[in-house]
Amino acid sequence: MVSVELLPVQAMTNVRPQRLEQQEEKKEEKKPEPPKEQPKPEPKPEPKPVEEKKPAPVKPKELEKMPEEKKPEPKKEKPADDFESVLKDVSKIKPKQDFSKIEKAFAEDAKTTRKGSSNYDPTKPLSASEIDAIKEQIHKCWNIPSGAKDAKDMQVRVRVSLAQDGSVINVSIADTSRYNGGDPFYVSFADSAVRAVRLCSPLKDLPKEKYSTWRDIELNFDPKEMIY
Amino acid sequence: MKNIIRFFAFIILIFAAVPAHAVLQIDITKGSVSPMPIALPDLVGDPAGVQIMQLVAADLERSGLFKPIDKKSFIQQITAQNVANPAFADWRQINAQALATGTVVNSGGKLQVEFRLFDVLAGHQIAGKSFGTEVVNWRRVSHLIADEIYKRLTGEDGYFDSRIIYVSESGPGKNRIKRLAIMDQDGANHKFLTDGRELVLTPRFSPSSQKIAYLAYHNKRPRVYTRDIETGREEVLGDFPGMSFAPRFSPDGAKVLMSVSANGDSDVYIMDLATRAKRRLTSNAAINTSPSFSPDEKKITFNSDRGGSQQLYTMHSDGSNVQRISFGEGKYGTPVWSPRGDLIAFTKMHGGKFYIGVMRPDGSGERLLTESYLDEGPTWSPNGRVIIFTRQTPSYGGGHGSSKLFSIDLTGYNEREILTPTDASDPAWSPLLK
Repeated sequence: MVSVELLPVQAMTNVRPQRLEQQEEKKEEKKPEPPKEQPKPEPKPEPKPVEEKKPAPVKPKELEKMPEEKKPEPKKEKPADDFESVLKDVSKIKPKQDFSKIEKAFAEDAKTTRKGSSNYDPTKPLSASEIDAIKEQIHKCWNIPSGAKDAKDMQVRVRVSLAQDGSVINVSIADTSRYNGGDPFYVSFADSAVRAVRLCSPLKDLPKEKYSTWRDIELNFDPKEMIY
Repeated sequence: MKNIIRFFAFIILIFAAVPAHAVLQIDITKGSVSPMPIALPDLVGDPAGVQIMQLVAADLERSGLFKPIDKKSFIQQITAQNVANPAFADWRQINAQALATGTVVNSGGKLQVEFRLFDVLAGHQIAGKSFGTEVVNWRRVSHLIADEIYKRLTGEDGYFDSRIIYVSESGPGKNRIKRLAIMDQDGANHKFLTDGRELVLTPRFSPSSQKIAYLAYHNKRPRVYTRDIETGREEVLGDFPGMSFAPRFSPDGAKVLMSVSANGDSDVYIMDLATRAKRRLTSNAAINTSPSFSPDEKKITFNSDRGGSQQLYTMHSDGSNVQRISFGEGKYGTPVWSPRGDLIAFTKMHGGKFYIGVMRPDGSGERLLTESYLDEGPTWSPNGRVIIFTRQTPSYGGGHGSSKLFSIDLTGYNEREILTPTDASDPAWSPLLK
């Protein structure tokens, strides 16, 4: 009879990063932050507390509402759309490979999004279309880890500091305890979000006059509408 | 006292100030799905390093989740000096998102391999391992490296250090010779385990991956056997009056589920391999077959025609609480519980076509991944991410049509043929090797 041997592979020890890691981290954190952030943030925070106190109640609410209000309408309908999910289903895709549908959906999405932007004030929050411009750029850079177990329940919040030219000064994961908690899928999911931000640097078409609004942003990566 | 008040006022101020600095929040709900560009320069040191990285690249590419970058476009040459601290800018420039480097030392027939994985955009190392083995075992080391890279970048265990067993088919229609064959997941190290004198079907791996169970027609009597892959030792599994078939090991390897037929009906049995005690789990006038355990062994899925047409069911592992889970049009068969536990793969027959699909264990979320003249018999990769199945194409103008193995990612993308020396059917994917 044929025998099929299995040879052992021994000792899988961890290979630690060489010295360099620490230097690298220092480089990255020290270099970009001081030159760009400090000169600007410092003068501004002083005058702003006054300015910002007025818009404060308005700003966060509006910004949070706008995306939230938009979501339920176009997006809950979308699951019906064959291409919305990144998971393929041959039974659904076959009958109608109709791209015009998607285009329409996108067009409608864009319309509804823009409606909300009528009441914007140049000195204050970003308009819905300006936010959409950021979204669209990140969408292109983000490679969704689609087939993983419970991928639809994953969500990661990423803090981003931007320079005036839109380039990314710093990206960090908000929930560091979860990141360090050892769930390998969360780690790779969070990494994919950070990678998307770095790949997208510099972000384009940001209104310079509203730099203080988008200097620090928080991106909430949540693919549940594409994976279900 | 004043100080205390001042202190509280200060605290209140701080909290009041928080909303004023509320950061702009943006929801990112869409993305793309495309293979990640990864640079895999040859391991430094021994010529074996070239082959090892080629195999790593082939594994990762086949998964559909990675795109190894053409070595010709590399700017930096990895040497013993920079293997642990590559120039990330050079790798960013060729759009690499990940980079794996390493060394290999060959001393007296022993290989010592060390590799590191870097996140190129972040500019730091994210994984590293070393392996020692015999030179002849270099393929396994390559698969282990590919598994490490896959695991770190996807968050799921890899599946490259694994094997596939299947039924090799050759010869003309009526005198079709069927032999058990085994090969590495990438088609290498192909071997025949039986000589084809007796018909063998439905091989299934035990969790140790050193044992298989299958149906063989010894003396024209179809019964379930187990075999030790390394020694070739074969044993009949229980002496049932009728035919026994459709075996499958429990996840702990201590039991085997199978079907036993009598009087035109068949029922699901469980047998303890140590004591040989057997127990019937279904009992009704119907065909109940293709049992498969959930990874936690609490439940069993199987197919049955008890309701009139062949459908998928689940039950507790003692046979209680039977529930039908498939409700779509057509017939459903060969359910297999994913090792990840989240899905059940199946064959579906509807409207003259066959499909491989997946659904959640409660029957929701049915999704059909493939479609053809005849697709059947799904088996899961050890990490529950990829499915291999048999695809038959009809013969035009008489003779035997062809039968091949195909793989599909559970997202429904990346369908590929698994190359085999002969026609092939009934694949079973091993667990990760140990």
